[in-house]
Amino acid sequence: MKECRQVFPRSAIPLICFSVSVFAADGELIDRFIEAKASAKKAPLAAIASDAEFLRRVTLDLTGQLPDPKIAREFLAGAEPKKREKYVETLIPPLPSAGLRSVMQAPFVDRWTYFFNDLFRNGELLEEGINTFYDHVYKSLILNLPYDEFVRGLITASAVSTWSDGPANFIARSHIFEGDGYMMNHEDTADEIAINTTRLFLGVSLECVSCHDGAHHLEKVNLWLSQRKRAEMIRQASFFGKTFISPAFGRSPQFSVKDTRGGYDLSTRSSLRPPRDKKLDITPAFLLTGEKALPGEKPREAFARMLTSHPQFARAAVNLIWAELMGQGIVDGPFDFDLARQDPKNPPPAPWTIQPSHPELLNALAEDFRANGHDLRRLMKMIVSSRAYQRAIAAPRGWSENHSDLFTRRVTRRLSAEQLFDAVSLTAGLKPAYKVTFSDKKVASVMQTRSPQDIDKSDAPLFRALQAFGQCDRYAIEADRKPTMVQAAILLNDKLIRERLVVQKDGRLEALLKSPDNNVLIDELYLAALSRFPDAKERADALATLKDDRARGAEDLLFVLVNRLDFLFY
Amino acid sequence: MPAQNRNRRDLLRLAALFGAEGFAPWNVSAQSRVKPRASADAVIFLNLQGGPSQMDMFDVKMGKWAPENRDVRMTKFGYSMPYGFLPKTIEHLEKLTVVRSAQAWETVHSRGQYYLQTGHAVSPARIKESPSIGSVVAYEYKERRRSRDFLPPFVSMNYQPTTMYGPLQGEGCLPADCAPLTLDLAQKNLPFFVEEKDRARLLHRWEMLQRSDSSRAALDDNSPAGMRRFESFSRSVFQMMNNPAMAGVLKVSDDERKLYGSSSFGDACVIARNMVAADAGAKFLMVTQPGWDHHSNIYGKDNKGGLYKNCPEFDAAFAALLGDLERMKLLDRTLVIAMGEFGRTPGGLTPVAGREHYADTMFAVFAGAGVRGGRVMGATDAECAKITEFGWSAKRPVYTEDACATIYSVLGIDWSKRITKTPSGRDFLYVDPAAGTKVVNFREVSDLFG
Repeated sequence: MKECRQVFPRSAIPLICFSVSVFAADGELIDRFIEAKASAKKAPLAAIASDAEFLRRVTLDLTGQLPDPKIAREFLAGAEPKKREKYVETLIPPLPSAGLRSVMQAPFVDRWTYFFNDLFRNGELLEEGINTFYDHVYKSLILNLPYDEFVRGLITASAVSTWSDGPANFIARSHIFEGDGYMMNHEDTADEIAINTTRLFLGVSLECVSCHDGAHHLEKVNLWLSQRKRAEMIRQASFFGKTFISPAFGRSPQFSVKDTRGGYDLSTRSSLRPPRDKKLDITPAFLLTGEKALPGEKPREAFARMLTSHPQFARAAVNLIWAELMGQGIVDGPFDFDLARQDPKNPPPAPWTIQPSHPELLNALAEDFRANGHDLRRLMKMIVSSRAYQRAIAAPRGWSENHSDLFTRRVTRRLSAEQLFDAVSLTAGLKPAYKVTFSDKKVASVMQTRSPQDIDKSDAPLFRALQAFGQCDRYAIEADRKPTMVQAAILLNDKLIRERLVVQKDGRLEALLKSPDNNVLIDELYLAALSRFPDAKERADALATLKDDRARGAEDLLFVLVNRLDFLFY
Repeated sequence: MPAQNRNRRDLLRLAALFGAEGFAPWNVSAQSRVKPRASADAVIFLNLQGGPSQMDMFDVKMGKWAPENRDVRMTKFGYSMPYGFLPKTIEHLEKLTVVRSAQAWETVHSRGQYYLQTGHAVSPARIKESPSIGSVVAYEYKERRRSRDFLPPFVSMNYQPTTMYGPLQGEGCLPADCAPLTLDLAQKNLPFFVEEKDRARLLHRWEMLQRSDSSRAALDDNSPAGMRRFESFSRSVFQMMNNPAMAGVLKVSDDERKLYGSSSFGDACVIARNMVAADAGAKFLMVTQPGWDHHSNIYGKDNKGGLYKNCPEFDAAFAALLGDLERMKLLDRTLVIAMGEFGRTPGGLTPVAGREHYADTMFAVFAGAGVRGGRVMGATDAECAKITEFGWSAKRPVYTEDACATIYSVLGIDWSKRITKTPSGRDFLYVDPAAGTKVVNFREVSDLFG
């Protein structure tokens, strides 16, 4: 350890190679960068969060769900060393040594499948393809497929029918129709695939340069993109010029995806964009390097190879996962990278500044990710085991808004729409059954649904509530945790909430009311909602509430718990 | 709690609600002087989602394709209207300027709806940061809010975000409290409506929450911004729900429901009327009527479906709204607009007896807030294919941007303002003089007035 500290300032690279063997997946790699910068900026560090705060946070972040009261009791009582690391291990399912079925029920996999399905916009437009695509992502995560391999699979997938074959839905999802809404526009579709793959896997947004050069448009927005030309974007899109998405068996949205077209055609009319310059060179070339396909290499395979082997691929990936776990990216947002502002040794001209809050950390995490087989689980464990992840919500003495990108304090967020309504069900001890569309399956949590339409068709009021809480619609609305007035109204007064919080058959309240001990009831409700025991004042208040009408008081207590700010935020 | 502390906390709440994220007024500036008309206290915007058929409604045309029972006749104002489709509205023509020279920029629903709601062209880089018209109004009215105002400035009713029409446009880069309050009248149980039998318990629970939520009590200016904002939202919401007048605002009696056409669109129009009448801070009320996208069977079957469904719903609600606003002496200070995101293809019907999307002609109807009634503005050819007469001083079509400038003007908002501190770094102009790359120099449709 000591040697490492000495090696660190000289160069990041040897440290990283070394870190693979020495640090395994612990958070020390992260904390030395975070704490060095905090110290340089004289930013105070928040205290490490209590066991309860950590337990609730890490369970929500890794599995999307609240910890069960029983788990919470055990964890809070535990005194063994490294209990946090050990607990994290219990959240992540083992690799399927006994076949997939052995780990089919894994909230961790549900939650991250949901995450990628949001990113890939796996929704309504794909109809039955939703399920094949979902299964593909789910299986890939159960197997902990290396992320680069997973992405290569999506980009190169072909299929006779996306309703039978999952991964090709990824490419098919980017189809663009003509203005008439019936015919596919081939070049617009190729552009869209390039935009989506570059955004998701390199963290760079090409929408602007898909219509016009960056010059005279993006000088104040993104230095690197201001130097890009529409022609370069088209050469990136040209990797998909042969890729033909067509309605399978004559009916969309069942698609076939095949590489049977002649190539990108500059003469077709765009249904979305200004006309393309017909004299452009459209030889496929990778946007970040200008690299072309090898002789005999298929264009999509060439693109997938260049994409996943470029350092920015790993940087974008670790930043994306970091942002999801830490509440904001090292580059924030994760799809707004400015590639001309990444290298502290080669700073951009004033007034531009280096974009990442911790550029060396981002590189170190990316190197570690590449050196360890693009292992998402390893990356997640590393992040959640860091002190940076485990810092308290409460501000340290001397806190200032200027410190908000230093990760010296937890970036507090509202529960996502899915987390929140699953948390309400779990706290109330309910076991809902949401029907999976185009399937006989039923699932018991929002996080297990395949797309928002599962809820829409099973429980329309809940669907509307999820929308009000910023559920991603996998089309035009991105997931959002912003508070609104409607959300506050729903939690205070919507029938949807009220009817979930009454004493009912097989619910938590009914079970707890069977015991005469009010203290047990109060403990269990606090553990279910907040993963902790009540303090003396909270207990006294709750006891007073239960004094007259016990059942009614218990309902009120449950209502107050799910309306608490520390229930809604984590 | 000591009084001093209390005040500090209230100030913090105010800061969380109104001064969010360093969005100080210096970020907004005016580039030139325009003189807002300030002739209205509120705007009711009827969003006819899907693209209503101009040649069957306010720009009615004769053709072999049309059924006889549209009953097209000359009105006393010297222009034709379909008595079969809009009989009740026709009784209120003396309040209306019917614009027949309106034109859209888009023929895709989601892009057209974006245009209609924001008054701006779709730019992928800017979708997230561009506020909608209602949010700009909310922002502008912040400092004019009175302590007794319990309704939010921007209310949207019955807009269902869908894949086809896109999301409801909200506050963009403006503070969170400029977001629309959304009501869905098809949903029977509105979260803002407290039934009398539930009121005591809600109050009890609210007090319990204030008393025992230690995370609420611990809020200070170092607390996470989201928590502070949520807390201030829940206070305003509770204040609104607990205001005895709120139940009245949300109440639609059986008689009113019937008068307004017994539809969720009609119910929303009653509530819009109530909100205007309550004079409680609601400034921009958007009421959406879906279902105007008649690609097939536009005339339905057996006088049912298609326009036979939408027109009577619209007609009853629109006429009742205009009648009530006038009767309640509110029309002089309320601008009412009805329009869709685009028009429909002219001439004969498609093989499936419908009409496709069309941008070159469409209608927009204006009433109240000083709009001179009883007339049409502009004209189109025999099939609604082209505008033949613009009918106003700009000598060009009336665009969404012009309607937008008109809304700002009647509400006393300087529409030449711009927001200079946006996430993309590019200014957001309340009304952009250019639609995409085409510079039009949009302006208030001043010819509507006087």
